[in-house]
Amino acid sequence: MNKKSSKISFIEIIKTLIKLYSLVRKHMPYGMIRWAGGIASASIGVISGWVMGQTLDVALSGDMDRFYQFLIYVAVFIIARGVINFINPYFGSKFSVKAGNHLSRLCISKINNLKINYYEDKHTGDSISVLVSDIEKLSSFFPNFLAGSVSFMPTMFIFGLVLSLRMSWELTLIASAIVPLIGWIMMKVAKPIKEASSNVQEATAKYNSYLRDFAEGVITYKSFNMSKIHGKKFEQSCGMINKENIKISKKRAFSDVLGFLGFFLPEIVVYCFGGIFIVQGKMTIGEVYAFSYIFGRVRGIIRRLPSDYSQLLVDMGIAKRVLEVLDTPDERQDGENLYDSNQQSVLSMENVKFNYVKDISILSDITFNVKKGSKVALVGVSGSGKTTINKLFLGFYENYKGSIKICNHNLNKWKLEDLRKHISVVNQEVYLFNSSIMENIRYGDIEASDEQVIIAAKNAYADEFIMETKEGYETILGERGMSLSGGQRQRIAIARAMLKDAPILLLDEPTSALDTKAEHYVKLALEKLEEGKTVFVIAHRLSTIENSDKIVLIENGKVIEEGNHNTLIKAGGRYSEIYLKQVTLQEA
Amino acid sequence: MIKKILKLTDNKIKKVLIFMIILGMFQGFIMVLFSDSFKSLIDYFINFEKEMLTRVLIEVGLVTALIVILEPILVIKKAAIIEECMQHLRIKSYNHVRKLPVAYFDNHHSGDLISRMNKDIESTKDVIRGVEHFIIAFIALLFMIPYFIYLDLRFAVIAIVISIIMAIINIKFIKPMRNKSKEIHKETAILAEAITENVTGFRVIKLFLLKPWFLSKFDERIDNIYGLKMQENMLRAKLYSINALMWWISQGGLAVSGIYFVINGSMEASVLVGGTMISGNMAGNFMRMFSTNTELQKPLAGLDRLVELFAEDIEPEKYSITSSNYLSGVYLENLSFNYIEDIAVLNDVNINVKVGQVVALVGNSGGGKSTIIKLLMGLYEANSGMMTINAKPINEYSLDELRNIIAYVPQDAYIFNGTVYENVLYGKNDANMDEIVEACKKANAHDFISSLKDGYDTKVGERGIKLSGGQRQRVAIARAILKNAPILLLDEATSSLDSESEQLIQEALLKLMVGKTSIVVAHRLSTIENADNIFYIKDGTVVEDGTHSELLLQKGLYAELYYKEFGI
Repeated sequence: MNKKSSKISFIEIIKTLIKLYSLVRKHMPYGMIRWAGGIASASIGVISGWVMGQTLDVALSGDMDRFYQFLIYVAVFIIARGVINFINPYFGSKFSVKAGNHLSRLCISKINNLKINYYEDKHTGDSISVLVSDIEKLSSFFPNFLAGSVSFMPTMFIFGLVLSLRMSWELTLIASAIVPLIGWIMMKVAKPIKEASSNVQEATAKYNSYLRDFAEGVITYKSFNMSKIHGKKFEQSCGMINKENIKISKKRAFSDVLGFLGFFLPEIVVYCFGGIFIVQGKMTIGEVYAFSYIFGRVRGIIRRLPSDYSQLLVDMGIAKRVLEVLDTPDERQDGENLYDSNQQSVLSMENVKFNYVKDISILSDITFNVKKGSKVALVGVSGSGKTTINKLFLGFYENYKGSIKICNHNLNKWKLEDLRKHISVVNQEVYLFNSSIMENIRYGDIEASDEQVIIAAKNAYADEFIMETKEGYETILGERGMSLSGGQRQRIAIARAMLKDAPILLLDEPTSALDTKAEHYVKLALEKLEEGKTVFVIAHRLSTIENSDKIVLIENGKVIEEGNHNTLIKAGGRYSEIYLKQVTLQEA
Repeated sequence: MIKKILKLTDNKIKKVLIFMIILGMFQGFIMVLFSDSFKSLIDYFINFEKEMLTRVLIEVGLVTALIVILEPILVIKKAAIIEECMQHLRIKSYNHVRKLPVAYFDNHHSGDLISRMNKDIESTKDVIRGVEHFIIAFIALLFMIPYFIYLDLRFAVIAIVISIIMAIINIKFIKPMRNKSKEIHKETAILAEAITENVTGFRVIKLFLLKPWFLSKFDERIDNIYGLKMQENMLRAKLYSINALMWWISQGGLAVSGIYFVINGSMEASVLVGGTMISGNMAGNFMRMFSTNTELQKPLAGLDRLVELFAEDIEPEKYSITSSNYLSGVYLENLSFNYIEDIAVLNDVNINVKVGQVVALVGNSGGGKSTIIKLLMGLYEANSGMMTINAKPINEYSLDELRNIIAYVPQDAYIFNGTVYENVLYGKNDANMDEIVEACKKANAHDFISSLKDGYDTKVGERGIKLSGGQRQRVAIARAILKNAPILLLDEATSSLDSESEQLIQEALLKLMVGKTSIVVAHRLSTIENADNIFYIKDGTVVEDGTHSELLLQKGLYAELYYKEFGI
């Protein structure tokens, strides 16, 4: 978050507001009811002041007829108040909840449409805090703004001012004279509050990232007794939140005082001059009283302006953050399904150049292809960009140079969804969701029946260990559920891929993190999975890929050798060198 | 509730009470002065008595001085104390949470913890604010009621009676609203968790085109929350409406009866003005007092959750697992353990490691090897059996001491958000730069770290996402090297590395193991052939043990595994 965003111009506010409300326009009818409720509430407020003035005059006059008439007024007011105070909170909240939900849905859907690098660049905590807490805040902003700033406040202001002018234009003028000065001072005070509150947000994001680190790395944390250093950093973030919050409250107190003066000084003026008018017989006591009440509410509106304005700035800051997320470009959505089961060249790269960060080239010149039904292995030291190649085939990054073709069609002509529909991936790391084993496998094909899931699990050699868990397929996995071993996770992933049954298979060192026994089952499972598929596998243990149809060796971002195991060994190049090293290492 | 807050803030919040009381007195005093100045003003307009005007002026001057000079000072002071308490509470929560056993984190999502330490701590602030409103309103009433009675007893009685009826109605709404807000809280936390999962599991979601399915699941959750919120909303709307009705009935009633009294001459018009004014403020204060209760329901639910968190058992200072022998090295005798009742993970495990030995644990995944390592670090307490580490039974170590003598490298070490330097520093808090560089060199991490853009100051991102798996592992090993603990636990530490890095790290680890007592969980047998002793763990027990050559001669499970690995 940059510091510049703390200054929001008036035009920007309007733009943000229009954007924000147009996002939730579907639910605007509720908002409009709340808006009308604000007008009604303000009108009743003004009229009641006028009635109170009348009360005094009636009492002083001792006129019983006017007294009865007055009784009716009072009854009407009471009923109107009761109704409005039901309608306003009810529709206000309804609008708030509906709009908030709508926004949540938009953001969630957005998060799922983002480009891969967004997840990797930004601290994920940012987007989470944006989603949960920001939307919560915005959802109450939706009705509050409609009910206050554009309905209650202007109504009260205009209606009150008109009535005041009618009662005594002289008094109105005199009392108004002091208002602009005070309003101006208060505006000055409101501005820095926004900055402090965005600092609080920043400090809170830090605070949360420390918490997340702790909760997710708890074993490392405990085994290294990290409380000292980590605790200190955490405390610093707490201190920052504290400091900024105190700053805010100081500024609030200061602007409150000015606000009070803005309210009180005119009141004194009203009674001084009102007194003179009473003596002169221009106004009755009741009228001066009503005037002070009504004009007081009008000034109350002005008094509220700075704090409302600073709140508006805070809310607009939040809104901008949320809108920023919503405005982040989506992953490419166009293209078409170019899958062709007869096409012989399934995957290919030609002179592909790619780097994540400028000037640090990951791939400098990659050319190779994978024929239909063949198994091609990619080998190279870690950090040589093997995984990146897989990501490129999946369309995660599209800012590469050269050409990448799938089924002999350029990647950028493909619709990414269709592309991914035809590719299964098994990675080294398997992500498991907080749901049952059944559901975790079913993610491979959401429409699969329980039977199909179980068949897939059996084919992936996962059924046995699943049945050994207490609740079988209903066992909950993920961060809150049962933890599985690497091999078991891997087999779940393979079962997923089996269900998906895509013709192209990308394997990224799926067995490297496993012990021998686990590897054995995973290998068997993979063999089944590979049947009849075009397979592209990344490996670092050469023994696992000796029987591939083709082996591509990359180093420093370039393909340096290509061929099957035997030809490469015969060639006596880098591949044979690495191979011999690994074999001697294992036999040593 | 008050007790809970006092306990949560360790009585630090007490100080704020004085400020609240004084602010309440201010408010009451100001209101009385206000009404009285008004009453005097009307009196002046009716009778034109000079002393009435003087009274007005003095009272107005006093009000201004109080509000402009004294009140801000108090308000700022009060806010500072509250913020101080919040900071205290945050740090206190952290210090509690960090002592919770690992089992707690097995059962709770990290999002849940984060939500507690944000929203629920914030709600403590809201509770304090609610209490403040109550105290201020109450104290102010203590000033206003006597003044009101002094003005006119009949008037005061009417106002007070109506206020009390309002109180009763308000109290009726407390429970259902509280229950609703609890439910909403819970559902919102689940939603937040699901969103976190959505963000962390994005790869799977994209690759398996799960978006529509996830979105529909979110929709369900959101709809569910919507239903609950609308129920809460209905309750609130009813309450507000009743309150408004009552307030206006009280105001209208007072006006009507006041006029009646004035017309029949039993009350002065100035008293009617002063009375309506004070009664308006009084009713407002009663309202605030009673609505505190309802307003508090939401934050109180959060407060309860916080209290719940503090009620979670923390790790004991020491474990009670004893031992009868005092040998140096690591000794486990008849050790049994289960995470969940009835499902034994370890069953009668016997392992001994003499000082300076390297011992390997091998066997199928899920056999319990990692659990042994975790028990040694005191992350869980064994159910029965004996444990001795370095000549002391485990119950003679505090958990901190125990962990201090152990260095641990897991398969996928957690890298903390921060710089490379900070991540290594966790190994030894007071290490200097030279020591860190040396540790990184030994871990074969120095070269790649130096090649990073900012070297040791490179930010590694969340979970070390900006480093490759092998790099993360080497940083973790550097961390363990820096710690230089006498006991070394390696849990498949090299398994996620490619052969070249593995070779480099294997060398580093061998160097590191010199003079240390090491327990190595290994999946690739080639790496542990030279171990002093190898234990084959199956289904939670040791089924074979001996040196590599002994085990090969036995032709048992180990031999089978070994030959399979080399394809013989």
